Amino acid sequence: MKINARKLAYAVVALALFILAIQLMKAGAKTLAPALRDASLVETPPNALGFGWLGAYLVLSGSPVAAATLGLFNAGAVDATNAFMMINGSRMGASFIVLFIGFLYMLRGHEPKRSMSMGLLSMLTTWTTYIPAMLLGYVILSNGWLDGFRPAPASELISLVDAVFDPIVARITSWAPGLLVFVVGVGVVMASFNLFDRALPDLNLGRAGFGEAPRLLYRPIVMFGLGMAVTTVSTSVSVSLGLLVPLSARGYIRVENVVPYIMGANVTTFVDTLLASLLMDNPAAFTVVLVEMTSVALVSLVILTASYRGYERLLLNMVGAITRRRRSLTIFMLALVGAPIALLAV
Amino acid sequence: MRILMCSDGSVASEQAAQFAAYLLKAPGHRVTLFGVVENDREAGSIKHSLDLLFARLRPARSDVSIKMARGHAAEEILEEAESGDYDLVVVGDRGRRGLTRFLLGSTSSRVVQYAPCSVMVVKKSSRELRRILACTAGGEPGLRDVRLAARIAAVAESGMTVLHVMSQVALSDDSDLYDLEASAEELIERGTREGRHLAAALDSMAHAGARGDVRVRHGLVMDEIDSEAREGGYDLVVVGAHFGRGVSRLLLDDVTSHVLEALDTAVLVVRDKPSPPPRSDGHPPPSPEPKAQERGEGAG
Repeated sequence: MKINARKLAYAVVALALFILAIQLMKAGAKTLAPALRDASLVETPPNALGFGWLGAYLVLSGSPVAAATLGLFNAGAVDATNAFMMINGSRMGASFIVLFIGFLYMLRGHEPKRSMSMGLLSMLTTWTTYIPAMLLGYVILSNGWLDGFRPAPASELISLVDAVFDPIVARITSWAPGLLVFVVGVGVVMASFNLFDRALPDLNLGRAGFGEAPRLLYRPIVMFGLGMAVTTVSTSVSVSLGLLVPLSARGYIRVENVVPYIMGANVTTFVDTLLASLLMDNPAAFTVVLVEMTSVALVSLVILTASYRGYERLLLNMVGAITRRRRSLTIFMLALVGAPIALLAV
Repeated sequence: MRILMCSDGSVASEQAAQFAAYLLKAPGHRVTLFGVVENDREAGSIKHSLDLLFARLRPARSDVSIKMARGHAAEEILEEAESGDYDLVVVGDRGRRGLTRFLLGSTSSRVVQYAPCSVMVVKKSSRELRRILACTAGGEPGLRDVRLAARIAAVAESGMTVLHVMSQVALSDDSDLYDLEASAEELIERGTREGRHLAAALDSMAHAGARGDVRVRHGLVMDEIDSEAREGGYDLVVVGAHFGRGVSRLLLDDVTSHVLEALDTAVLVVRDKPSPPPRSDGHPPPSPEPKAQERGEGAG
């Protein structure tokens, strides 16, 4: 197998930046925590959900918000339940950018159904699994059912990370205020995800590589597993979806295949957050992420095994209803912006 | 065409034979009426049923014979289908659904799943053969399904529609979104992959002497097949065998089983390659040698 040196370098630098970002957010959040508690921005679980949701809109991605949430949790600025809700919120708002671009296309005269179907399908799949998963996860977290599943502390790894990154972090924190350190941490984590996307292999297989694959229907559970596997490596749902494009000679794939793929991707998209919790050496943070992944996986599996056909129809009907008229789509987009703001006020 | 027409003496199997008689409008077929005795008490009624069918089918200018076997219905049918080099197996469906089907199993489902050739499952409501719906997924296997459907349509003098379902969604900005909502005529005119396939389907129909049209629906594959079958009032739905073998059996969704389960019309499952069946009793797949000592053979 030929290894692309440039991509390998991207991957190594991305990992180093990711670790640095986690250390910066940890340090920044520690000094920020008292101020955040006093500001009472996140008092209730709905607040936390709205906060994470809006955060994802602001940085146009969910993963940096989830990592930042762990930083805040580690510093004691938010409790476990609110951290869990913020991470949920980060996923609820993660695919907004795809929809927003589709919406701009529509304003420029494109037909709404054509420009927005995929973004809507992705977002609705996420919402319809995450909302029940949120309730399930809340019960699991409150009862401490997964508290026993905590990894042994990787002391040697943590010592190594501290030895390499502590001097850099100490230097930055010596002159920059806590808020700035935290913000720089968020910026660095975004840069690391960006670099990591570039490190992924290019798939230009085209028609010859996959033959009849695009016309075939795969078992939902197979696509679910594939979505999980691919996203474990890519860590991003949108990147995983992008990797599907070459499967079709003309750039599209069947609904029956893509919905369970997104469901699987939604489970393992937290792999980077799980890694962040390990780097923070905080078992409670690990539990929060594990509960998130477990609850989403359980809800997805119940849907896939019990009522998948009906679920597919429900999603398509929802997409159809939203894109049928420009007015209903505009109302939906306004609700997308209004919902997290309303949650902050609850 | 070599046809294996199966009967267990039930009303369902008599209906199946009656329905399949539409295939015998053209001369030259070799038909084997096949009865399986699972219980000694049934032997007389099954033999009587086969004799009646024989009398009914004989004027069809085909070579008709009777065979009987003793044992598990699905396994004996599969063994006969394997050893007899048939082109088509015709079975009736008793209409078991849900829990009953799960608990008692279904002879027709097992035969469809493991038969080495095409299988026609005739449902209770099947009476006439005026309209045929051929569902085609694309590629050469899809055209093979259309060709068999067209041959039947030509013989039975039935109308025929070829259906292709598109459920694709665009994943990139440069996708040709227009195709996702185009009609069959538009796809043919634009010469897209689906359009070329549908044009080839029309050629196959014309070549077989069948009359009909092609249609494209947009939506979930199973839902659209179901809707078209119900709305169009078809008497026979033709689908390819999507069961797959080996790893593909684990990977691919089972559209054929969904069609068989969901529709009340007769279903023809087209297959052209053998797939050796594992026996339900755990024994290895049957050998192609007929069990002569158990089989009473003769032309009535």
